[in-house]
Amino acid sequence: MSQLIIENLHVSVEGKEILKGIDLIVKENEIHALMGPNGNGKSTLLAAIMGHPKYEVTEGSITFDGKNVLEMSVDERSRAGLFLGMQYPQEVPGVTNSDFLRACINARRDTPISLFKFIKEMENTIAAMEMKPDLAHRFLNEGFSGGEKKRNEIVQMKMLKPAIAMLDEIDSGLDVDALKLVASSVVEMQNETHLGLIVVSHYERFYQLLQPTHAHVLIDGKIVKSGSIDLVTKIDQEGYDWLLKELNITLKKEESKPAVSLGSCAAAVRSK
Amino acid sequence: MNSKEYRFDTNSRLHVKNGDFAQILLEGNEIEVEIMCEERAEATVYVQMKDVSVVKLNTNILSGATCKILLWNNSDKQLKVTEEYHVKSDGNLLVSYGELSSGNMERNSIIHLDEKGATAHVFSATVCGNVKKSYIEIAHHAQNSSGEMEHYGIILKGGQFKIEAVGKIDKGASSSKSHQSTRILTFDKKQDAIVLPMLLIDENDVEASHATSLGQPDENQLYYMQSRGLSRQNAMELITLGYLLPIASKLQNDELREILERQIEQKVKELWSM
Repeated sequence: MSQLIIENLHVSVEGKEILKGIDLIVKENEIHALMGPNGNGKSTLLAAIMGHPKYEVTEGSITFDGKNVLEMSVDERSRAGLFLGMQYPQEVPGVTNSDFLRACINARRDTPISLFKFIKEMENTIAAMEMKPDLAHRFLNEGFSGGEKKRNEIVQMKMLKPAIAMLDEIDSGLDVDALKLVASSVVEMQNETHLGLIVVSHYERFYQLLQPTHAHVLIDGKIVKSGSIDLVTKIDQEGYDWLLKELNITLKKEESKPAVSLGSCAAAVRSK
Repeated sequence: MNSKEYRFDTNSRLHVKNGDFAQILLEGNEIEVEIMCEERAEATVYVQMKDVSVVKLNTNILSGATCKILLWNNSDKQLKVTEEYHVKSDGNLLVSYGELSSGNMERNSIIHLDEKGATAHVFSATVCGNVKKSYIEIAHHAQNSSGEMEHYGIILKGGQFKIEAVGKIDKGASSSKSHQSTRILTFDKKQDAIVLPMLLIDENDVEASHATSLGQPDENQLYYMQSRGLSRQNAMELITLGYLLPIASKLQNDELREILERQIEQKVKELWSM
């Protein structure tokens, strides 16, 4: 049974500690909703699990099926069965979606996938995500709308069949119909493959469609509250204030950047 | 399509007619070739340069003709190429340069858009681990002429690469368009890559632009590709192929495309296994 175990995880970015001791266990078939105000470390957690070079793990451990994830390179983590659907998928001009995905699938196999089988699977997946058939031949995310990029992340997830998937605000940029489609594809995939999920979203509607088995609130680099889907509903209705009061914490204000008019020196204004 | 094969080792002339697909192999020390594409003809010319040191190419594209030319450098010797093209009214020239050789290369190419409505499109794909220097100019002498250049290059350790890409519009050549873009990828700090885009314009009513990017592969792109299971090397290979593969389909000939794609893939594999 697939199991991702995070223990006492501390992560710094450019010397600044963002995560201050995260404990989390994700098993197959589970959906973990990860909530919290912006700038408190949700995306950092997902990127650190995936192995983004900018995020430095200073303490703690991540193990996946008994293996030490922190010793693996980004691509090894992917091949081991982890997937991160990104908030801002990169554009890679010159590399077509189909060449890219075929290379990714072949990287997981001893013998390359037959072209016929690959094309058929890709066509079916594109159709299931209600995207245009020419998607396969377009350059990876280049010139895609926000919604197309997000749907393309799901196309990749479906084709790569991870054991644990992390979705970082995959719902932003999607209209209501696309949101339903993405949610139902995720649920459908879970039924087939017993996928385990960590989902970051600010949209209660998306969580209602997914029906998470667990919910967590991440504030100032720590999981301060865990619960069931009721926690999602409560936060949607009442915000985070009650929780902050209950736990007696005050949110650090994000550094605000003053608006600077053109014609004056931004650095000089900021230093005031 | 009327496929014809030629092997030139001395100075030669070639008339291409409508429907011709001429494949020319250049072998010898110094060769001068004249190509004429007949009026209103649609023709394709594939020139392979192998074991040749000096090539002079003079090409005339007559009125209304469309001529696609691919110059493929297979020479591992030092190669010097001088080219002059003349495009007559409403003639269209597409000239592509495939530069994957391991020999040094120097190119001087001038395309004259002599009469109104003449167009030229230049496309190049280069792998440079040696010395490759090009001067490529599209000179607009008439109204409504249009020139476009796209250059893609992969520069390796120890490579010295220089390209001067010039769009020149004469006074009176109104409503002309001159656009160019150059994308250069470097993989090491020890190489020398110079891109000099130039627009020399002596007429007010024109459209012109240039764009250049030069640098190492974007780390965010590599991270994204690795996060889907590709090793860093696999990701670099794919990005490199993205720069080079489009040249294989420039002549729109499936048989040739497959041959060239195989050569490019082979070359890229070699690069990354070094």
